[in-house]
Amino acid sequence: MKNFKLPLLTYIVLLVLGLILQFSFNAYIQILILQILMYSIASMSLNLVNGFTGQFSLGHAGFMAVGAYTSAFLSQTFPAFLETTHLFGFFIFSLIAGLIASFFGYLVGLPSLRLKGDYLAIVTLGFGEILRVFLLNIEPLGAARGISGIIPYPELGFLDRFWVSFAYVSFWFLVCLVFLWRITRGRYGRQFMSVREDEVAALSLGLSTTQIKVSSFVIASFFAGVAGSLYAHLISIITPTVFGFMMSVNIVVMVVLGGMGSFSGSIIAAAFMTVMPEVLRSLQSVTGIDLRMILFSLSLILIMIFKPHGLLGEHELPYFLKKMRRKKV
Amino acid sequence: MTLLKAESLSIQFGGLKAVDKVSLEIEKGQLFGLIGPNGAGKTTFFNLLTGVYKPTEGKLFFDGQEITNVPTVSRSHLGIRRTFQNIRLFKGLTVLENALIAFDQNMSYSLFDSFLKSSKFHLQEKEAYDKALKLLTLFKLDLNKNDKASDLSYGAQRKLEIIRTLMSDPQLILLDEPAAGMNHSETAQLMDLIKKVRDDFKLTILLIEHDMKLVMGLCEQIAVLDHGNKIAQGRPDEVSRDPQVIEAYLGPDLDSGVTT
Ligand SMILES: Nc1ncnc2c1ncn2[C@@H]1O[C@H](COP(=O)(O)OP(=O)(O)OP(=O)(O)O)[C@@H](O)[C@H]1O
Ligand SMILES: [Mg+2]
Repeated sequence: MKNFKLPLLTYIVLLVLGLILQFSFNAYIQILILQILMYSIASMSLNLVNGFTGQFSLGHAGFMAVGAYTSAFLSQTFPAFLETTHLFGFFIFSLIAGLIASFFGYLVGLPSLRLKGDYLAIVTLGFGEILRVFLLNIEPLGAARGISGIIPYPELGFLDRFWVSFAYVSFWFLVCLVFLWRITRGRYGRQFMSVREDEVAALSLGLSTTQIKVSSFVIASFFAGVAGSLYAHLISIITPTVFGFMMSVNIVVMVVLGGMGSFSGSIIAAAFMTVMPEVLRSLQSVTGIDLRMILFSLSLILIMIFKPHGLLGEHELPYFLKKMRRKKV
Repeated sequence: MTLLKAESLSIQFGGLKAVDKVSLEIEKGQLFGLIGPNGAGKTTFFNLLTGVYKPTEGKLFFDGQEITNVPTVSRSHLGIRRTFQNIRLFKGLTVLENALIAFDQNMSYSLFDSFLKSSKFHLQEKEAYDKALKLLTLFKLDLNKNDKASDLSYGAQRKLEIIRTLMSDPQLILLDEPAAGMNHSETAQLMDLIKKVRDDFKLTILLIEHDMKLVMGLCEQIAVLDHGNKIAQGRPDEVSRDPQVIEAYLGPDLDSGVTT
């Protein structure tokens, strides 16, 4: 337990913060905050594949779809289980969602990770599209209607639904962050990066590059599945189109924008990508014309011009805080 | 005792016999030199030894065991490591990280040891760090340990590649022109170091080199390749007197500066 002091402390702070958010913000902002956390899980996990391991996956939304549909389907099938077990039941469903998504990750990854660069992007993109068309045609999963009325997270006494959702989503957010952070600071992080840097050299040093790529892919798919499960219960309605190509691209943009190899960068970019369209939406009511997509794209282009390696590059937030402190002294 | 044995090893690229029926035996503890003019097939021979290429003919034995069909990854685990003629460091990573990666096959902690920061994690990371620092110090790179590998000088990069081979306590290391791009004093230092490493770590070393003087002074046994064929083998003085070698390699119009 002593190795988890900081994460636990952070979690307690987050729980208190949740209380403040519960009383000081309206439902609209609250759901945005929950989405930021959910997308952070998706972008951090994709960063493991695209940033650390240097593979280009374009199908992350597909694995989220697997997780979302798993969790939604389970909760429609076993509603009584959720009623008696409360959050623990949701936890079990998220876990199963993640495991099934990671199984899909293994199936897709094993043959396709032998491919390089663009080819891998095409295969993963193909996976996302095949899955979408598949889901569109499966009647028990709602076909084009998708699944609606998915059971949301419960209220607990004076703690309203937002707080419980926030507590639950931040739990997974922290698990994802701490897990990815720690495994990338040690032999596994070095393995992932060695594949990114030079596969021939990695092989000559006894590292099984295929195995390393597949594990990175499987871990990322697990958290994508969890993120999908969170999405299902937060939004309560899922359709095959939601998890389409655009969502995959958005998550890739978060990774690139935040910085390849920087988890804190992915979080910041997830927040930016979630909040920015909403801010611009309110601007529209003033100007009367829809400049949203234009300004949004423009801001992305500007960032990539002035910060070609993403907002944080390959560094984490603490690196910049330390640098700032050193400057002040 | 024979550590490495190649039996009429061959590989053909299209119509080109890059390595043609080369047989070779390297004794345990030997410092063995492989020389030959440009395009003779030296690097290709290394690629056969490390499993990068599969031979079209012939067999390969290591430590009494046939390894002709053993993949590259496993050869590193068996104790064969190599450097690359066209340096292949992990350029974006630090000098220290480059060394640490090379220790990975000696580590056994799991993903969850990483996640839990278990004592096994700390123990093995420390072991790796100590080993890396020892070797970096030996090669006088310890002060550069936090530099990016790509920021090192050419010579230092070659040294770091040798450090990488040594991290896993291999039995045999293959060095492909380790002194290329170094000046005279750097080269002399490196050769002393190679000898020291061989003695201290009880290694067997196979070395490709262009600088003839250097191989002659360093190696106990030399084989000469030309157009994929082994044309001579023996002690340095024997090889340098061999008329076939003189013709193929040490010819009077060659500017390698070797007197015969
Ligand atoms: N993968 C390959 N495909 C086709 N031809 C190759 C390949 N690898 C090497 N060769 C050819 O095989 C021959 C031997 O090349 P090799 O690199 O082994 O020579 P070398 O002795 O290392 O030369 P150098 O001293 O210049 O490094 C050359 O003619 C080269 O063009
Ligand atoms: Mg060569």
